[in-house]
Amino acid sequence: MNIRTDEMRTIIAVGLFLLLGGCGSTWSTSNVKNNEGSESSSVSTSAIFSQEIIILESDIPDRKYKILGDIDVTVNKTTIFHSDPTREMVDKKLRQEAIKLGADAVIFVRYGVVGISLMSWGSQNGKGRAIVFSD
Amino acid sequence: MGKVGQLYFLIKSLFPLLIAGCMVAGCSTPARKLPNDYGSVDAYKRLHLHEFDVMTAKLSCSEADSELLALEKSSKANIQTIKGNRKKNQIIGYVGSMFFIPLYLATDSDPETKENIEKINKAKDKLYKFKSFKKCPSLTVKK
Repeated sequence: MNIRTDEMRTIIAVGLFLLLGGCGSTWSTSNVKNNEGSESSSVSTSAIFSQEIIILESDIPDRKYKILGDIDVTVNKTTIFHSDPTREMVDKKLRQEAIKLGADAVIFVRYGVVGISLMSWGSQNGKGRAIVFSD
Repeated sequence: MGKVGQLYFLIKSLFPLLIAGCMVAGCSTPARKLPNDYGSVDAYKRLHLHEFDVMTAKLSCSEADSELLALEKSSKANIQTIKGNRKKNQIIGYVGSMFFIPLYLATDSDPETKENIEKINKAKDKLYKFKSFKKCPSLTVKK
């Protein structure tokens, strides 16, 4: 059998991808648009644990807050055989990004519809606004 | 060409079809855009009553909450419909990309359901905005 080197490389790469695909059920990407003038390095004490961060689909009109930035995350499943990403996974990723900004809460959280994307057989997008209370 | 060479050719030629397939079979929809800032201490624009339609302007905080709950229920039902079709779409997408391309015609991309979700989301955004204007107490329940 006559196998060319680049053919062999491609087959090995595909094989490795499929093999490593079994290691994690999801992978994710994120994009944070920082608000001008916000100090993202000052982590407030209430945001030390990610579960402390409030995730809300609405606004918080009864408290004063400053915006730290808008967060955009996408959770993807690794292979077609893994289960679809859920809203809880999106929340978790939003919390992780909110911690990095030193936020107390993520408001106006919204979710996309799970479906096939160019990079995955199952992708779910989520957005939210990271805020810190000022009262 | 050996068997490995044939496999390589197959993978190479099917890649564009795989991408095309992704576009047809139940694509993901991104989350809707975040609203303008109208609630933070630095917000340059404040809300006014004339921004809301008459029906919405008459609502109390609890009525707005009830409407939001009803919308959420309806949204969940629509999402369930899409979830139900996703398994079928993935199987068809997988088989279609590997063996039989016309199978893509059998996929269901749920355009009507997605449109319904979009309408519900717009209604939810309107109510969230109204609740902000009325300074209704926010839900304290953490997700």
